[in-house]
Amino acid sequence: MTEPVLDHAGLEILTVEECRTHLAATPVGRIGFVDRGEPVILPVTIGLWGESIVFTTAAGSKLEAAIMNRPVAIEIDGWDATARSGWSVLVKGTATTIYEGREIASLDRLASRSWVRPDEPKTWVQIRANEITGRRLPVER
Amino acid sequence: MISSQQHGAWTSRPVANGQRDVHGLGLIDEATCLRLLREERIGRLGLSVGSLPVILPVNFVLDERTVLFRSEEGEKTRAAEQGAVACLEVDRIDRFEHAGWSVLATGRLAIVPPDRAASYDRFPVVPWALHESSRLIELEIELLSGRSIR
Repeated sequence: MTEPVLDHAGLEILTVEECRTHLAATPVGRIGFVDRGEPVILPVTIGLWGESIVFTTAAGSKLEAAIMNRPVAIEIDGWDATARSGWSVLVKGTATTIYEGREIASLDRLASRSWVRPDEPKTWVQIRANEITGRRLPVER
Repeated sequence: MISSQQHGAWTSRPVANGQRDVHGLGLIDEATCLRLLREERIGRLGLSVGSLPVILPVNFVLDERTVLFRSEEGEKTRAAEQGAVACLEVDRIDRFEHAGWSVLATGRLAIVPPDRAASYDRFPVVPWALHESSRLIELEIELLSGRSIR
């Protein structure tokens, strides 16, 4: 096994492959965006769709209005308080709405649960990643 | 696989105050938001770096209405030196039960001056990373909101 690469704070740097593995296995993440100059973070149920991250939001929601065609961050993490270990992955990209009917149908079949109630009209949002980074806090030795 | 969703007490499910937002999510009152923040140890700090959003995990504690955490030199420390607006988010989501909650606290970051930092020695503010050369940063909460789904 190769030695892990550490960042300035002593955290192990995850490879893009490791980040993708976490993204595929972690259903709940958080979306970060800047709304009128202020950073906001909200939880979202995410799915990995090809090279993109997808999630649903209520059609016409404040979230939709705040992020469309704008830079966003998606964060996922996992941690173990007893072992004092954990990891986090940060994806930076741009949010776009998916309009194509065939794509929406295929995403609907993935049946990703969301915070949107089943009876409410929803919008599929796609985040194309510009950058994927991850860190691991190694188990205390 | 470690997961923040699987770990820890899922028992502190808040009772929303009966009010709902336009999307049917329950609104959590401020006292409950503060209790939920107090019960959590790991949150996600949201920053605007060059007007781009960044999310970083932090180990934090709450003192009254002030969020405290330690950080190495880096984006968090730079933001604190500039007195930037930041937010701290905590949540517990169970996607199988389609239930959960999240709390968002917003305010300005500041480096806690050394004399005052000493008074926080009784708090278990451990840095996310392992290095010791970290500084104590505070976020005094100006805006606090919480949502629950059930």
